[in-house]
Amino acid sequence: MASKRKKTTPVRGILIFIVIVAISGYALVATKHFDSPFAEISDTVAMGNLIDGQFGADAASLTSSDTTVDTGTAKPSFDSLLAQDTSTVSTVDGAGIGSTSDSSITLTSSDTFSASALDAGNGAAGHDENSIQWSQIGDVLFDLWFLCAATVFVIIMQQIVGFLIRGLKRRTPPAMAA
Amino acid sequence: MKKLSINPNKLNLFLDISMALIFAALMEERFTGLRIHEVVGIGIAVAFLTHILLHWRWVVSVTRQFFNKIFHESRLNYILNLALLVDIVVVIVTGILISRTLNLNFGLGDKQFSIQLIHILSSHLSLVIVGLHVGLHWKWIVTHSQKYLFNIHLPWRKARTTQPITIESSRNSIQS
Repeated sequence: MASKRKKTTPVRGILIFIVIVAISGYALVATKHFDSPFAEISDTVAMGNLIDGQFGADAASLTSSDTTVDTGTAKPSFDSLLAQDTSTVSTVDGAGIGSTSDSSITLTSSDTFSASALDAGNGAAGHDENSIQWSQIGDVLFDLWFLCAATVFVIIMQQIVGFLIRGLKRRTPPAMAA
Repeated sequence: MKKLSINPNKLNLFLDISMALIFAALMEERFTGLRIHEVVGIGIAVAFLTHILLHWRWVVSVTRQFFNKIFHESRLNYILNLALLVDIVVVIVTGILISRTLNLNFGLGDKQFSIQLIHILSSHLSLVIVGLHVGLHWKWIVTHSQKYLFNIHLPWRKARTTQPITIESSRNSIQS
């Protein structure tokens, strides 16, 4: 007789997986490899806003004079902005765009300005662009960890939603359900 | 002539695991270096296309029946996959547009920086969506990894084969 197989959730396996993800997450935090993609997204959006708004306005004022008066909203080309050495000029609010500690902008013109420099911040400068940098393996491990953490999140959500739906089905009278 | 047969589930499993590992490496351009990042990026675009083609039946069937039963797990899966498709297309197209080592000069000028920002933004977003995509398929991954990767027998299979043997051996032990 063929017995009907009941679907079961491998609770022990899930728990082991959650523990492994938690421990490895702690290890990534301890080794300072925890770069949340949500923070990266908000940083990139902020940078985009900076370029579109304040940065354009600041640059427009820089082209007219060395003073810190915000004179307009005209947006010059990005290449022309990079071509200027604005290191001696302070921004409108006194805070630097490139850094928070200095009150000066430290943009320099470079032909190799790329997404990698944006993404990597200060650490990207001067690395070999044609070979694997094994010192950066921690960041790759973080990305793999993030995939596992998202899986844990989905598993937990599935269990909660499944539990709630089963509870609702039990409460609903058969006549109503039909 | 011997006919070549490929197990689609096995192919899917190994392709998906490879894609996940390569995707994580590609997310960190500082790790791979720009040249490898761009070349392998083109390679993973082909892998994504293969992945979609291997799941084409599912895409067609869910698309046809999408509005028949809205509140179903496959609908959430479908919307997430659609978002992932759009995001990955944006990542690949912007990546090709801003490439510096593939000798493709599109003459973007002022737009170069904006496109770089879009590329970075969409790539970070893709990590989140891929994470949820992997999470929604965890049962499939576990089942097929046990079957093809670790070669572990599932509990019900084990029970079917071992039970009669244990009964027989217990009879023998009683007789002796």
